[in-house]
Amino acid sequence: MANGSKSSIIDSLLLALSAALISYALYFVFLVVPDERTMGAIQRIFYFHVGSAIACYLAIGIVLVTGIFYLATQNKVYDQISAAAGEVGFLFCTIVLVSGMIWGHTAWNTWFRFEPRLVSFLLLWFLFLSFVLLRIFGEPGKIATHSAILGIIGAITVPLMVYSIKLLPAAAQLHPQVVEHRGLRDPLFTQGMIISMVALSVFCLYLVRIRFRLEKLQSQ
Amino acid sequence: MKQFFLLLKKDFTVEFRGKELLYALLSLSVLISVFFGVGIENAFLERKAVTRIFPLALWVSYIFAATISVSRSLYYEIEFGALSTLLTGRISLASFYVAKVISNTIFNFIAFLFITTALCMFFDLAVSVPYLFPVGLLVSLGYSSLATLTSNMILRTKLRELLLPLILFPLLFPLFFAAHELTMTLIIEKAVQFDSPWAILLILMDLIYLVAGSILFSFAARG
Repeated sequence: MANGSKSSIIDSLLLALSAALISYALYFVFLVVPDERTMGAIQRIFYFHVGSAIACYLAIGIVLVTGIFYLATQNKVYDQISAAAGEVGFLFCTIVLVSGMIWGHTAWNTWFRFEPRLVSFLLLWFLFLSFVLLRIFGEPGKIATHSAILGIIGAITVPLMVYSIKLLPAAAQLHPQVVEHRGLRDPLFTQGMIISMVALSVFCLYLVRIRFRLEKLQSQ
Repeated sequence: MKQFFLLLKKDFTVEFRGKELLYALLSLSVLISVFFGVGIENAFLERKAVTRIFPLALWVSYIFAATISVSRSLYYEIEFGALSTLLTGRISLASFYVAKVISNTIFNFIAFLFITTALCMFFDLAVSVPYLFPVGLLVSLGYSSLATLTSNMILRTKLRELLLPLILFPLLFPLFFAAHELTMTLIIEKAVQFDSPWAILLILMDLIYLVAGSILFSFAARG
């Protein structure tokens, strides 16, 4: 009972923090940050696009760490957290792809280009999809171990994928790299990006926690 | 070490006795190359464009043929109960994994040779094939390390034919990028630079996947 009430308090605190941060991010992005000179209002999708990408990487990190801990300890809790993070990561990866497509349609007049960075996130989406599919259709009784292994191998592949993309010729790189190369023009752009990144990361943690509790209830 | 060589010998004895896989890989390589050849012929592409399509045709055909080869190889282990016997015996699962990776690498490399020859013939290309051998061998090693691990995880599932490409292909992409770029370099510059970042990345990936695979395989096999 004591554990249950402690969990509820943590859930409520995380929910309140996520709601407050997302509200502040929405206020900041739509009312404080100025329009970008060339793209105008549509550029505001950038804050949620990048924020979701960070949340996605956070989910991969959780899948990797819990996968290692599960294999080392065989503790079901780590498997449940890993399952939750995999599903939430899949959700955020979908948001990154969809928001990127909306942005791309306005900026490049096309929904999708086989540009290395876009392809890398599409592949990341497929990695999450394979993780979710393995959990649904995997070998009964071995799903936890197999998905932990897939999570670890998938997480190892992500930096290799990112590095391989950087090696591709500059002519193939269409995706903006302003953050890496020149920084953002206005300091308010940077602040907006950091706020949305923090807000979506906290929201990601909240969703992982809720999904984890559901997984726990299902196993009981 | 003795166990490792015995396991490797077993794989080759089984394969070279029946030669099913070799015949299947040869037929499959020619068939896929014919598809590419007909498609390219009917697209009326210029010579330069055909040359540039070669790496794509090569590695897509390779992935297709190698996936069939690897899943069949592990299916044999399960069908004849070899893996279950190994789990009850004293044979190290890491040795079993490395032996399986080596035998799969060799069979996949044979598939690579068949496909390269068939494609060069149908595309009428004079590619310096020996330069491609190290690339083919490195890709085969990386591919086999990943495929041996993942195919073991899905072989007892109902959707194994569907799940294997869905799980394996996204993991293969960095390997595919490196293989494609190195082959393209060979075609354009007529030589592969083995100190190029792509070659280093390919070697690094082989090492990472082989080490991670030999650690993780025992967990995958035991569950």
